[in-house]
Amino acid sequence: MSDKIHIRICVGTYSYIMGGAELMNLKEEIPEKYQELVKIDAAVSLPNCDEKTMKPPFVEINGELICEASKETILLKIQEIIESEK
Amino acid sequence: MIKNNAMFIRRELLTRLCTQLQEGGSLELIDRIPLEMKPRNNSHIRCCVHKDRAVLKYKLMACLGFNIEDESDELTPLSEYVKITEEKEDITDVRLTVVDEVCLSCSPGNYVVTNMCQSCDGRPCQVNCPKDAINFSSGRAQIDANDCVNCGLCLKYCPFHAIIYTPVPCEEACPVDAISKDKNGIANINHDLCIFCGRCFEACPYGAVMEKSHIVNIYKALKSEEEMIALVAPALYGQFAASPEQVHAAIIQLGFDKVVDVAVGAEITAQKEAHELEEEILGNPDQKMTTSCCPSYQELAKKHLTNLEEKLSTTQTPLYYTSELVKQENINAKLVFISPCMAKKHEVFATKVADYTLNFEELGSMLAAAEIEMQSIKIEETEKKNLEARVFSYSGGVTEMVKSHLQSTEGLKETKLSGFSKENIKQLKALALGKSDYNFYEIMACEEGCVNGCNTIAKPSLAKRQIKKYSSNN
Repeated sequence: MSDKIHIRICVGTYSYIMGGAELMNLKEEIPEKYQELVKIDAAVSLPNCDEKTMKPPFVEINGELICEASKETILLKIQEIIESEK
Repeated sequence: MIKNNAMFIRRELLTRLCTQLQEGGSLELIDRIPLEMKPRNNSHIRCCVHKDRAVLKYKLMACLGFNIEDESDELTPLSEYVKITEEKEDITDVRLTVVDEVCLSCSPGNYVVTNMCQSCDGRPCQVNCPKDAINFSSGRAQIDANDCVNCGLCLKYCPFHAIIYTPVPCEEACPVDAISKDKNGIANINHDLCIFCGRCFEACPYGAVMEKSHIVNIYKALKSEEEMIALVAPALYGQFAASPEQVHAAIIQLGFDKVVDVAVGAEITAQKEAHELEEEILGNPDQKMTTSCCPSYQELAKKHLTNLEEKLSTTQTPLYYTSELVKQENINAKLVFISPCMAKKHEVFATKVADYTLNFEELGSMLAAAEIEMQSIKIEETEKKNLEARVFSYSGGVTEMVKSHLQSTEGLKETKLSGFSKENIKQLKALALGKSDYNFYEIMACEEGCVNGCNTIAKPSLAKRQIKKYSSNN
């Protein structure tokens, strides 16, 4: 892969209490073979997310906003990106 | 803590409620919360959108501090309940209330024949049933609920595993049989038996067991001229992706005048408990002592395992000592304890060490409603201060602190027990009868300690890691 997969986890208070807290050890949950390919950081707010109309927790992967994010949906997205670049 | 949607619905309700209770909010908009969360064109969980809204209204009643069963007029709007709560000062000892409308959705614990039944010739389920409760009139085994005594023999003997047991989650979770469905199918909590461990509250997949909140009273006090001091349980420092100083600053932004870390009192508890251990236990081979800082364990000893009561250390809890120190300097201030669990709420009520309790979920909701983002708060390096006694918040931490205050650990045989599982209760029963090789027990009702209290937000393992970081002076 040319560039790393960039994951930004929203740690805004509402997103955090609505499930974002579960994603705080995401790095450890990512399979070892993908570890090198992924860069994770936290953001207090993400562009395009609206707490009033969208369901938290929010995560952004390579610029794409994911609502109701979970460890499972994130891992699936990582796999999708890797597969598409093969 | 079990992650489920019932938990997130509760947090959404609390956040929406806090938005309207804080400065600039509108009481009338509280009445619209169920409509906003369940608009007409949205899919519904129950029979219709109206029932979903009714359930949300009842859950909000609990958030406003009411017993749902005390409702006398179904048409009383939520905004009216806010006004009633604001006017009454007394807080009752009832912590939990059950949303009967939704509790009914969960059938009483029973044995069910699935479509795996092969209608075999042997019919061991029928042959071995002591109450003749099984018939094959429809061609497949059927259990007559009126005759069934829930003995489970049908499940045991079915060679196709076609019979299953559907439990009542709250009943299964309760370690002291304090909650059970009545003849109408609604869970009743026996307050004389309840030890406030919060397991039923966590276990109910419908979120029917609700904790009554003090948030209305707290907002009222925050808007007044009264001095408000937050006493913070050390477990809080593992809950948010923020430093203790950022957490304190966020609480101040909510309108509190001062924030005090209960680790200050935990240090005193550790010193006194170590002294008690040296005086009463070490060198006295027949004596055994348990910690007493977990109020749920205290209740277990007082209500169920009375032989353990004499083994409880007489040292007071960290909250007690912290409150004592704070009250000496701030006679007229209102104290709010920020708590990881329901048992601590009971301690506050029973001992009057604080005026109100705010649990971690409620605090998170208040911060979210006020749009306070802890991570954005800048803290000067010089303001940072770690406190060792924050380790009280996880299993093993109390022992660690007590040991550090002993002059010698000779003769000490310590062990720790966290979580009131059936196995641990068995161990406690043995201890109550004096059957134990240890002479010092650290006991916490929640597995892994307060970091896993029923009102916590973060994963216990992550919370513990973070608290360790903020406890160490190295």
